[in-house]
Amino acid sequence: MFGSLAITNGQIDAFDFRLSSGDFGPNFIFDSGTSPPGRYIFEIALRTIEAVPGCDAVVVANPILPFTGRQLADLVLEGGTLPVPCVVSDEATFPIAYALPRSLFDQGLGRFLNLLSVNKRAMDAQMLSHLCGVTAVKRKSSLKAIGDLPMASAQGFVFRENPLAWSTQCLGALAIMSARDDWASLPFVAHHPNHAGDVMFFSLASRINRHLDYDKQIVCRSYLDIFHECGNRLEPIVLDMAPVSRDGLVSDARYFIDSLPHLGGKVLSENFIVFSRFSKSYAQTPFNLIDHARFSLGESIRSFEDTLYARAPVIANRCKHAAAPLRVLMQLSGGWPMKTYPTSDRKVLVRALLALGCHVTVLDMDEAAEDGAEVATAGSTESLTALLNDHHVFVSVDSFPLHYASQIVGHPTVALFGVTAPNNSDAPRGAGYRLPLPSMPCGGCGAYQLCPLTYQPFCGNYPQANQIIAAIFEVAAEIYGFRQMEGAA
Amino acid sequence: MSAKVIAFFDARFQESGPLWEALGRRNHWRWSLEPRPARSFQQSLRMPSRLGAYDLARPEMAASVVMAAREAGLAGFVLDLYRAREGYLTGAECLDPWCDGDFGLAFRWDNGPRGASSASMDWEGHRRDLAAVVAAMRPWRHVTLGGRPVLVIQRPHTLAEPALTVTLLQEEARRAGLPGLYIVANAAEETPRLGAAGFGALLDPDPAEWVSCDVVTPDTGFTILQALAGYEDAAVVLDTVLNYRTFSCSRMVNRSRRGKVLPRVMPAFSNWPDHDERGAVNLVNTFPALYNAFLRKSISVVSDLFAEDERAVFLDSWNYWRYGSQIEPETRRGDSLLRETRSAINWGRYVARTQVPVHKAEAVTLDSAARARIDALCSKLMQAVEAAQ
Repeated sequence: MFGSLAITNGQIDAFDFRLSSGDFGPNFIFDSGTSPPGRYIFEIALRTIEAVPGCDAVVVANPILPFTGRQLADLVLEGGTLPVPCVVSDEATFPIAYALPRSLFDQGLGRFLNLLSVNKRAMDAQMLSHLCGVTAVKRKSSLKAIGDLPMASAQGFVFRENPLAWSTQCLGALAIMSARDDWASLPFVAHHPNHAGDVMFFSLASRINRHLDYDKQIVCRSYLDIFHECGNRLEPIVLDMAPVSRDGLVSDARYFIDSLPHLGGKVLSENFIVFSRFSKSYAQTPFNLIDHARFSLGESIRSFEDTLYARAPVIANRCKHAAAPLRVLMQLSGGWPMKTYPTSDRKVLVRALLALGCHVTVLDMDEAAEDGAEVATAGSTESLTALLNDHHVFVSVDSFPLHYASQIVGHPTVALFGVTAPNNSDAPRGAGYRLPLPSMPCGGCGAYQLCPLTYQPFCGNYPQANQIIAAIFEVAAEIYGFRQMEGAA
Repeated sequence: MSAKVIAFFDARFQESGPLWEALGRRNHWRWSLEPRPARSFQQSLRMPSRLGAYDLARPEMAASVVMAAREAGLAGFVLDLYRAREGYLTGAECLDPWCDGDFGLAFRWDNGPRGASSASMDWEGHRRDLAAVVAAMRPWRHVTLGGRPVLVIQRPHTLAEPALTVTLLQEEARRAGLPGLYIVANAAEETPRLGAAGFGALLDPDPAEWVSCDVVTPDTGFTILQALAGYEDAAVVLDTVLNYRTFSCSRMVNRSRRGKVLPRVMPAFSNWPDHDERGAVNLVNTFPALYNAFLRKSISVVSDLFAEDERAVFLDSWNYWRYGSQIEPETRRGDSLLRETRSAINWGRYVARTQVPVHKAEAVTLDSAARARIDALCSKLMQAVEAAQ
């Protein structure tokens, strides 16, 4: 629940907004895991202005706190007329609401709200002062001190070290605004450097968006080929630092903070860098990560027609060989141990395909050779593309090669999901794409090393070999007219 | 199109009317809410909040119940058929005025324990009984599957001749001017007898009828003796205790191989009020978020496996307060289960839209012979792999 107020000549209109769980409408806000809380303040302010076009100012509740519009009004107006700009806090110094002049949005400065700390009243007040050109008032309310934040909120915000990252980005922005008169014209940079699949999602998002609030993206050097190959419309800022490990020992927030010195003083003094890794849990939403990224980059996404599923580019790639024998390429391990397709099922999958006359190549898994598969390595987008062109159908767990093959190359693909939710990273359905159903409600648990239910080191939610083989032959028939299985009895 | 979510509904919360009269003018709220648990794994019953202890015979109260269900995104209620002196009563007259094409009624018929064998069966009497079932269903606005009103048969295994019963029901329905019935058998698996009977689909039974996962059991004999002696909670010895997360996952395993079985989703279940000595089934560690995941995945599975107009998930229940499975607002958790229901349904609708092909192409589906060949090959290879391990 997000609350906001429109102020028009002293008249107050209160609004309630909700995070969307798949529904769209004027009071639903797209739920994006990669957006910092300030992005929601920006979006809610825009929606409030749309609802009351003639308003002089808007008041937006801190989105990490659940507020209704009515509760917000009662709290922020208890001290009489609210000055604008203003940061209202609890009885201590935790910001609970922002009073923002309409002019801030008319001047196109709304995107700076992305940089708010949402946990330090003084910092946020300084930010509003710079943005509005007048000193922002800091006002206390009677709300009891917010106190220590929990690990996460019911609305999906993840805290832990994230407030530190939000404060750090705010501090960086304040340093620039204090030092330079031309700050309003400086570029915005998304700090989203890690994980091949995620770099791809942001790249595709930048291509699909009609509107971009950002100019650049920070990307690890090892993923620069993906950044370029995927046609990212943003300018890259290369981070010479090893990507963060998936084991969770270093949080995204910590990595963000630690990476800043590696970017150099010039980058830090000339760019507004926004923490664009996960401020919220993306698995709590039904939305594709590409749409999460699109919202982060400035698109509102207010209808189904705005989503990836209606706006993805149509692409089609084909194997260079004749349809028979069928050549199947597989990626059966992903970014962390529990994403690996279970060993016994993999053995059945490989052996069954070989028994059915297929050629099977497995990427980066030496042990698959024991079952008769060829083993190959794809160390770059170029070599992966070459391998795809050499095979009719690609089968992959939820990993970068899956997303690259299905969404960038457009190769016939069978997608496998176990510990992650398909709807967060699948591709639009169409000819040559199959997603055999993972069916258990524990799916999307994100377990790293062990199943939290069985304590086994594999995921029981993956589709079984027979389902995958059926999907492979369906895709092969659909795209290449491969009919070997027809009439089989 | 996303799945229809249809909730089982207890229509006996009335303080006047034919159903109330026929059931002995009982205070149904009192009967539902007064039991007190004897063991700690038996959850205390919750108390109704926003909708209150309503009287469905009062139109404004029935309207508020239906409105709440519609706002949650439900497509209808399943009402039980109660035997009366002449035919069956359902209580549908209280709800029907608030139904329309978007929200309708389905029915459940408890056909009773195993009766006479096929040879000694009174088939004319059976036909009259089936005609009465159809007559009780006919006047109301229905939720439909496959374009037909829905009838759930509670104990299909006890029918002397399931196929004949289905045929007779369809005949009676057409005679009554209905387009036939979508008959759902309350059974987890398609036995040859049920498979050939012509049911529209099967339906997962409730946790008391089908324990689909391992039960929570004491680690040692000593613990068992302690429990039986009254030193520890005896529920794990005397009752069946199921962990909700394990239970909900087990219900979804291998659905594509189980045939046309519609899921039954429940946010909680505990039938101890009717088993105060022993033998109750208790789902424990239930949470609204887990219920949301169970419902979401069920919607997703039926959307993936079944024809567009036959996609349904049965929600157990709207108001079975006595078994604690209600999603109606209650004093402790407020509207949380209604919100989770609405959220899961909205999620399902969104995901269903994402699965509509964006590139036009003729989709190829393997025929059943090809699938059978693949299944057999994989099954044989899996045996070999497991033997080698």
